[in-house]
Amino acid sequence: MVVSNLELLVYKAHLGLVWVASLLVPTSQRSEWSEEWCSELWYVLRECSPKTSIHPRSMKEATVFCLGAYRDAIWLRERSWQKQRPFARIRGSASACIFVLMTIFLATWGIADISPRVAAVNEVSRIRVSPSRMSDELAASWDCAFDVRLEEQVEKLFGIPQRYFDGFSHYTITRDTVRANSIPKTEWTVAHAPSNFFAVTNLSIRSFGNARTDPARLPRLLLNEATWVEDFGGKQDIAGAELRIGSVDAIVAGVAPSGSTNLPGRANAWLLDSDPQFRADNPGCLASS
Amino acid sequence: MARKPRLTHITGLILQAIDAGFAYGFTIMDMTGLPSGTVYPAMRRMEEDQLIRSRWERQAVADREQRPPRKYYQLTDAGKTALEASRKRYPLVERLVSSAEAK
Repeated sequence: MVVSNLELLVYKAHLGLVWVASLLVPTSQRSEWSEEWCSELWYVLRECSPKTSIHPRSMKEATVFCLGAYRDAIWLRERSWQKQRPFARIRGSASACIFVLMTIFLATWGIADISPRVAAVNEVSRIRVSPSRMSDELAASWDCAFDVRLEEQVEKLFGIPQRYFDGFSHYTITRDTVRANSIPKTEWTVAHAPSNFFAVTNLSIRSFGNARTDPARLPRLLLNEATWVEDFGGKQDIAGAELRIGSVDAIVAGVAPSGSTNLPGRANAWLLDSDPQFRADNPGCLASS
Repeated sequence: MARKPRLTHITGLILQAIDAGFAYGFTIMDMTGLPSGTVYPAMRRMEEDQLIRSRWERQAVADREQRPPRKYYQLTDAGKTALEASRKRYPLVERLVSSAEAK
């Protein structure tokens, strides 16, 4: 076979294309791969230009053939990477998708669980459902009463900074003798709470329009609805009346929300802004929002 | 362990071509009309799936004919089974190769 210089040049140019493509092939397969493609290129050039030495069409066909070598080389390279990666087969599969989602879910759960804010919320929810749990822990340190900085106490006890609560309140239950002009002497279960208690628990008070307001002088008393109906006949003119709860004078300001009957203690009345004597055997409950 | 081979139209065409005696890359390309970038990766995948096997021609034979040695491909038993399956799935494939062979 007679080969002109130009044909030789064209052959070498195409060999160069194949050689560059061979760089993409994994080293272990490169030698045999190059040998196969160079051999095939020889046949392609021979078949494409059987008579004339160089023809643009045969040149194009040979070049297109050589460009196919890149696709083949890339395929081999990708295959090599897939074999090196242990989970390559499940890539893009439904199993892989589920695995990734489960990993994200577990990671999110783990992060959330160690997050102080979430921990605080969990702790608060436990406090709400089990107020007696708080009682023993708080009794010893809180018998000094309302002027204690609640947030500091909570942080000390639980390591939860107060800023994670939007609101915080508490109450304590006592059995007190009640004296009033309109009813005979009786004994009620009285809940002593700070004035923000119903705001924190999102319970709305039904107050009477004609209620005398003098919060600076006397603590306000909110009657349980059942007590208001049974002992005072459900009359609104009870508003502003003075009652003596134990040793404290209080003024009736309204009716406690119906939701308050579900709170532990089932109080007949709520005495706000009073100064109850906390006792270890009757420490009360916490509420937060 | 070999994967379950994918029996595509291209696989069927190449199997048919090899079975018809087109035993090396360039002739398979020529017969099927597929580009080199399709034929060679397909043949590598088929070899990996043990549908075909390859062997290099002896250098002495190639030297005698003053040409580079060829890499020949042939069907394995699994390849023959796959060819039968592809003929059922793609009936035109057999006709395409037969007619090309007749030319």
